Parts: sequence; structure tokens; C-alpha cells
Amino acid sequence: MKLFRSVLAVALSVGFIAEPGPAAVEQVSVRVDGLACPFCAYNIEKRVKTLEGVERDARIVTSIEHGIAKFPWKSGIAFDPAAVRTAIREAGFTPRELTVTVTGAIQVSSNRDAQTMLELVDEDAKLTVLVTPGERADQRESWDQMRALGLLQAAKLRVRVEGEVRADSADTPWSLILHKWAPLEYAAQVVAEIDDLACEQCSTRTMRALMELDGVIHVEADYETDRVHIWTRDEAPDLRVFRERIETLGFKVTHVHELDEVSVDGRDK
Amino acid sequence: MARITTRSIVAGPLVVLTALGGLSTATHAAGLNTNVALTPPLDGTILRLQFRYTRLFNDPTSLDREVHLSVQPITLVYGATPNLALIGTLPIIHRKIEFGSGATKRDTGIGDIPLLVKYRFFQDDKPQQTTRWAMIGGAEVPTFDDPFSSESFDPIIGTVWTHQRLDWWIDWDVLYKFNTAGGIAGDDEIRADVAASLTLLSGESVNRGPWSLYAIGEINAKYITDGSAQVFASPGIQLFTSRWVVEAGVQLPVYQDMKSPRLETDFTFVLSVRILF
Repeated sequence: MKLFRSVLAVALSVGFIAEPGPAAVEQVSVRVDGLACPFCAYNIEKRVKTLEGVERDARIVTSIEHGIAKFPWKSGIAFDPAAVRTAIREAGFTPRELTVTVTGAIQVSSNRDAQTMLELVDEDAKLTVLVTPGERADQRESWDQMRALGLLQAAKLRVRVEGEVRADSADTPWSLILHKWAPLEYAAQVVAEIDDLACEQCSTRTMRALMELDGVIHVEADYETDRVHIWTRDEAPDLRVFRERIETLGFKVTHVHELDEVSVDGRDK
Repeated sequence: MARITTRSIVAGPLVVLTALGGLSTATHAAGLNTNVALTPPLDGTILRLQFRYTRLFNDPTSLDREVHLSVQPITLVYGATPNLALIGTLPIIHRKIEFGSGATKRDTGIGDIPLLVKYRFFQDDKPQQTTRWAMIGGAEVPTFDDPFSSESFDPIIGTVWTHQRLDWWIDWDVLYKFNTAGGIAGDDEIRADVAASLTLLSGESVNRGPWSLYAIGEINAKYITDGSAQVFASPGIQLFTSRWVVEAGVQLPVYQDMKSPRLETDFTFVLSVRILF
């Protein structure tokens, strides 16, 4: 985990990627003190369902034994941790630690941000740091280490925040989450296997060429594995387009296929 | 004396006791006959429907009465704020009096309606446990439904304390009712209850949520300012889910010193359902 964190610190501190946007919070988990009987569960459910970010028919799972309430957060609604805490208090209990599951990419512009992220991220979390092509040349070693750890594969990030934090404060961890987290909204992921990508410059040329295609939102090419990953907005991308584009650069594509959706823990389904 | 036999002796204090028990327990981990500090969530409502059957006997008067009292208190508790609950109970009463002479008298009516406010002024939450303390104030509003109404506006004050954990809970309460009616119905009442409960079985289902089966034991004491006193031991059982509770129990007298013309209690059987919505 130390290696993991040091690698991530380096990667984040150099300002890798991602367009800023609203955080895409998917799941909220709040530790609640005072839960001691089954009736408590419905009290929580009743108040949580008054939140703007929670569907009226959402499944609110409250574990009395573990003192935790979990619920999904509605897509497109900005996460409001203060409102969540208020709802728990209105139910008659005391909110403690908030944990949110976020899908997306991080834009980190300073070492401080990077350090804050490291403090927030759960040690068991799977991380993805997408790297913009062409901005990583002198970070080769770090990137390779991250790849070796599988950090570049998953598209899910889990963040844990402890204590009372306010989202409206500019220097709080919530501010980082809410304002520097961009949703990674891709519909499909494609992998192209190349006969011999040969060199790092070849990788960069390939990535830049593919990024020019309509619908492509991100590309990663690795000359050591001879594989190119393509993220696209198209649900059913035309694989022949990718093949032809790569082959116009002088490389031979041996196989192109679409990856299945990546699960929460980062493993392919 | 005739008026005493039909209202004050039998119905008055017992109905009050029954109604108070019914209304103030209708919250979370409450006993069948006691109060608790826990309240509904903001904008939440608890409906409690009870069936209570009581047999009264040992008439100290020459009437030699035996009374069968069935009370169905309908209680609503509403969470006006996270710390403040409004409580109201409508006690529907069926009474049958069997006289020593062989005569029988039956009455049905609505007892006085307690309307209370409960304010929680202390709360200490920890993982899997909570401690809460609340004050209660209000009044019993007369329905003027003879013979079950005292026909007086009777203030009530009290306090209730609860400590609840995952496997057990305990609470105690004290309530004082200032009877403003004249005659024997004007004697004030003070009642104190201690309830303790132990989890027998529990579980959690992703689809249906948590549930628990509790064994409960209560001590319910009542003192009337004419010198009458009663202490009951009250065992029972409660099945809790996240939305409803089914509970049953009995009240058995362990000490009674009732001043004439009041009757003694043989036993009370309680069946109850609570729904949270």
C-alpha cells in the first residue's frame, strides 16, 4: 500500500488529466450512532428519501448491527453532505463518518490536492488515474508502476471522509471531491492489439490519432504490451474505424475487441 | 354513591392508567405499559392499536362487584421536530359490571383524551446505543361521555429516560396527573414504571431490513392521593421489524392497597400493534 500511495502521490502531483465537472457520486454510506432497534431503520429511510439526490423508490439499506445506512445517489444531482447529515439528525440519530463511492476522474492541480486525495482515499479502494496523452513522458516510471498495480484499469474510485466537513468551504476535502471530480461517462471500452508498437513515440502518435476520432474520449497506448485502450461515447463503436486509423500510422493490428463493463472492484465482469 | 359506582371508582383511574400507558409507550423500544424517550422521526407518525382486558374484583363495598374492562386505546404519535413529539390517545372502553345481587350492567364509551407534548432535551448517541431523556407535559381533555369521562381538564407532567443498546434496553418514567374533578375522581395520581428488555433473537435481511424478538419485563407502580397503591409485574414479548411491532403481555399485581370504594385488579392482558409511517 505504501508503494501504491507513493506512486499515486507522484501521479497526482504532476497534474494528470480530466476535465473538471460535477462529482458523480453513486453510493452514499453514512455511519450512524444511536441505532439500536429495528424501528430505527425506517426512521432513517423516511428522512433520507426526502433528499433531492435520493429517489423515492430507492433502496435504503440500514444495518443496525453495523450502524451504517447505505443508499444510492441520483445521477446529475450534486452531492450535498450537509443535507445528508441533516436528514440523519432529523431521523433522531447522530451522523458520523460519510463514505461516498464516486465514478470519474480526478483533476489534481497541486501537491496539496494530491495529498488531500491520498488522505481521503480508502486503503482498499481501487483507483483510476487517466493520463492525458503526451503529458507523461517524464513520468514513465510512475505510470508504469501504476499500470502494474492495476490503477489504470478501473473506473471506480471510493473515497472516505471522516469527521464534520462542509461542502461549501473552499479548502475542505469535500470541495476537492465536488469540484475536481469529473464523471467518466463512456459507453464502451475497446482494446486494440498491435503487432509491434515498438516505442513510446509510437504510443503517443497512436493515442493522438485515435483521440481525433468522433466519440473517442480517452486513449491509452502501451508499447510494452502492444495494447491500446480506447474509451468511447458510442455504445456500439465501429471497430473497423479504429483498426483502419491505427493501420494508417503504419502499424499492424492483430485484434480489436470491446471490453465488458468494469465492475466496482475494478475487475472485468 | 351511585355516581361513584359507575364512573369514579372503576372506570376513572383505571382508564387514565390504561390510556397513559397506551399513549406514551407508542414510540420505539417502548414497553407495553411504560413510557420511553425515543420519538418518531421528523414528520413521522406511529400508530398504536391496543387491546387491553382487565378484571377487577375484591369489592370493599356491599355491592360486591366484579368488573370486566376492555379498552382499545388508539394512539398517534407525530414527530413535529426531531426532538418534539405530539401524542394523542382515544380510549374506546367497553365495561361490564357484575353485581353480587346477580345484576349486570354494560357500558360502552370513550374515555378522556390525553393530549401530550414530549420534548427530548438530552440525547447521547454512541455506536449501537443511545441514551435519551425527555419531558412530558399536557392534559387529559374530557369527552363528557358518562360514565367514562371525569368531566374535568386534568394537567399531566412527567419525565422519561431511556438507555437502549443492541441487545437490551431499559427505561423508566414518572407521570403525575392533577385531577381537577371533585369527589373521589379528584384524587391526583402518580405512576412510575421501569421496563427492561432483552433481545432473544434478531436478524437483518437486505430485502426486509432488521428485526428483533424481545422479552420484556416491567414494574408498573401507581399511587393515588387517597392512599391507594398498586404495583404490577408485567412480563411480555415483542416482535419488532423496521415498520411494525406486535407485542403481548400481562400485568399481574404484586402489591395492592386500594382504599374503599376502589376495586383491586386481578390481571390485565395486553395485545398491541404498532405501525410506523
